Amino acid sequence: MAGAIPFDELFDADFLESVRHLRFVARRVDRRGRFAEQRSRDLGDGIEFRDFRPYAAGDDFRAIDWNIYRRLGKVFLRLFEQLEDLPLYLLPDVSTSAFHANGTERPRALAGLRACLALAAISLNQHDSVGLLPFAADLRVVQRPRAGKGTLLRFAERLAALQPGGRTDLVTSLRRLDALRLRRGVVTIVSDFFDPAGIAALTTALRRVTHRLVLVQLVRASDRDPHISGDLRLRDCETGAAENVSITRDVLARYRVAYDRFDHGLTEFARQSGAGLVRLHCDADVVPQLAELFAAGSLEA
Amino acid sequence: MSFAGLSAGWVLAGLAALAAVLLALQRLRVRHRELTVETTLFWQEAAEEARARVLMDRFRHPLAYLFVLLIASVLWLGVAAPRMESDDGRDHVLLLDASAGMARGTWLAASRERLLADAAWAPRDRTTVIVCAATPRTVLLPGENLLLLAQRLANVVAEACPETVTQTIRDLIHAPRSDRALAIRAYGAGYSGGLRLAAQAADVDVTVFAPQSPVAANSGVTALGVADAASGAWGAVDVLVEVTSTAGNAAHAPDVTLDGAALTPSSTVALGSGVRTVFRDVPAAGGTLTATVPGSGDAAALDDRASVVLPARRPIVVAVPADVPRALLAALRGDPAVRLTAAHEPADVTVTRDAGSTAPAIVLVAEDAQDDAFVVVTTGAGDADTMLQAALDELALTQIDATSLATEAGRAISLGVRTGDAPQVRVWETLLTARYDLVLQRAFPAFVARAVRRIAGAAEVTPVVAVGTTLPGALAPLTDPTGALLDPADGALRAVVGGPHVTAAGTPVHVALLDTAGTTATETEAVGDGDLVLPAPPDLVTWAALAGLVLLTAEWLLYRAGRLP
Repeated sequence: MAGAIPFDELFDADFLESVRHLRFVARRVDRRGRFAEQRSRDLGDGIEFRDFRPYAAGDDFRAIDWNIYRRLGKVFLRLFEQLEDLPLYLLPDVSTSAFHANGTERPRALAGLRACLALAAISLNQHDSVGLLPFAADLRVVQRPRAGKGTLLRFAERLAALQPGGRTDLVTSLRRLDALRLRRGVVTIVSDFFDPAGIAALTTALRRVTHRLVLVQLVRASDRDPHISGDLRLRDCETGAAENVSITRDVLARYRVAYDRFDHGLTEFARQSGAGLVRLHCDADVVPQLAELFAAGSLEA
Repeated sequence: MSFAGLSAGWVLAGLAALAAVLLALQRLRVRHRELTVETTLFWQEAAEEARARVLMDRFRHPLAYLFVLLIASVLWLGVAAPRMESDDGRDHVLLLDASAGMARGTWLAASRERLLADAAWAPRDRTTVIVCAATPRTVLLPGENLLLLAQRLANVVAEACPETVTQTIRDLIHAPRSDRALAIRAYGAGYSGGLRLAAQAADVDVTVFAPQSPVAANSGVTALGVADAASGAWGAVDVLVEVTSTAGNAAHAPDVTLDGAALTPSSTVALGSGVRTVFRDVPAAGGTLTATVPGSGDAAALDDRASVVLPARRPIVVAVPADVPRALLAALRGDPAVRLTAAHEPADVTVTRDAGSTAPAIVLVAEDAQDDAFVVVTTGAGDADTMLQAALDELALTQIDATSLATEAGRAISLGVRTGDAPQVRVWETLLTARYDLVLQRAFPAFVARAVRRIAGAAEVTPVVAVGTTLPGALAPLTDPTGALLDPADGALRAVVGGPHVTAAGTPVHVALLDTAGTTATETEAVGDGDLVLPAPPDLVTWAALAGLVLLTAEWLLYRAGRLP
């Protein structure tokens, strides 16, 4: 099993430069946010007209629409859209399986953390706040939502400091996330989603999430077509459970059916719940795949 | 089909053992290779379904077992070296002629090659191969591996001897056999004698493969014989040399030397296709006489030169006392082989009246001291009747008129034989006096001469004749157990190779040198289906190896396709 991802391998200027032009665009961010660039449900000092409402005592005189008053004799205020920040909660999978690698493979965590860094860079670049909440058996808060371009380096250091640990328990982790009562934002889960609880329990837990969801699924080609043969004792790197398998064509076919069932379950969940689903191939560069995701340079969350 | 490497029982036992061992291996607990993966979530589902479909608890891969068993069986059969053979229910004997006649051209090599090809088809458990050289020898017994045959035949060369195929066929026909018919197949020149014999036996079939390579003209020594000198000289012999040529070629008198010195022939007689030369009074001093065909280097070299060691005949020294009977003394003096010396001098034979003498001697005894008139003392044990008959013949006593002697003596004249420390002849002394007419009989000098030679152990010269020569004397007809005549040999005795087992008129006869046919034949003639060419049997070992390769390839492809674990 691999250890933490070295900082140098995770963070480099070229990589960050390549994601500079990408943007998150929120449909509408939740209230009580910090002033930023995202459209919010708050009405305030923006430049985009949103509505009128009757004047009430204490309102700012500068917002009164004097044209309406002249025509109708009544005092109305012009309401403008408030631009606020979009909280981005990054939930990288730091379970043992994410850091596992056979032979010349690279651990999924490398691609996952680089994707987190890229998404964080994009958000911070547009003055959004980014929180880091890695999970394995449970979720923990490594960094509460924080904005500012200057925090990116700090964010990368925290990513690099993440240690692998424990089995994957996304159900528990999402329950913990809900308990945090965070301001609504975008929850991005970067994981292989190999939860021993199964795809049904996983999607049930995901449906309870009140935030906008973006699922970044870390995949390999060998996930569906494993290049193994013979009589094997397959040991789960997280649970230690062993499964004796003699690889035959029929067994492989049944394996693919099981994998497709899992994959289809995840896809269906994303389609039904309107969540974003991104399959990130761990053996390829992260940025080109993210670039495809951010069609026309932006991703609506 | 049979197996050259293993018996059929071993092959079957091996196949059964392979099946059992492989089955046991299949049923053993699988040793899994450990591999750590991110998750076993999907494998659990796949394996659960697979378990429900296995045929037996641990016998998990019937197709893999079938492949492994097939591959192992094919390889095992390859080790057993299967071979195709034709089985006609008969015993087969293959005879390779390795006599001098086969040295011409490529006859021997072609015959050997053809024999090996035919042996590949012959039933291994009922096939015998015999090389017919000077002494026929079996080179492959029933059931032996054919690979041994090739090795054993590789060093076979033609020997300077007459053909022995005919005699071998004769022996095979008359030897105890199984109830199965016998198929004899000879490889060489035609063998009319053996074929005639086979024609008389209903269950024997003889075919002859004739190598087809005509050879050039040839001359060779076909007879070389030594006999007592006609002149009666003890220290000399007469020698006969006969040279025979192929038809249409002139034969020349041989060059004959004795220890390197050329001899001059006493007479030379031209025969139809040969020359017979006689050398008389050749010194019998143990020298080597060599006859060489002039201008050698013809088709066959083996018959161009022949040698014989002449007997060494020195005078027999006989010590006689001063008062020896006069008739005995006269007979001794008249024997050219005898040199007399005084009593007590070293001698080969002593004449004495000492009844207790243990030296080689003619012992003169009183009539009342010995029941038998003649007693022959021998140094070797044997059957008494046989020894008595031999003594009668050797001492020419059958030529003596014993009746008149018995009348004169008033008692029976008998011959006794006993064993002692030295050869002796004990005789009543009175028989050698004028009282009896023994000394007057013509056989008396012969009796004395043979007695002296017998006691001294002087070498006899056995007449020598060429192989195939018809000898005088009746031959007991050869018949089968039902009494049917087997050997239509015209009642004549034919000299065959093998030594003094042939007798003519009671005289042992040596057989010399090559048969005339072996020297004069230039072409061969097949008999029966001898030249029938059988196709080479398929190389089943190679086919087994190829089948194993194909199976291995198929298994590999199935493995790659995921059909086999």
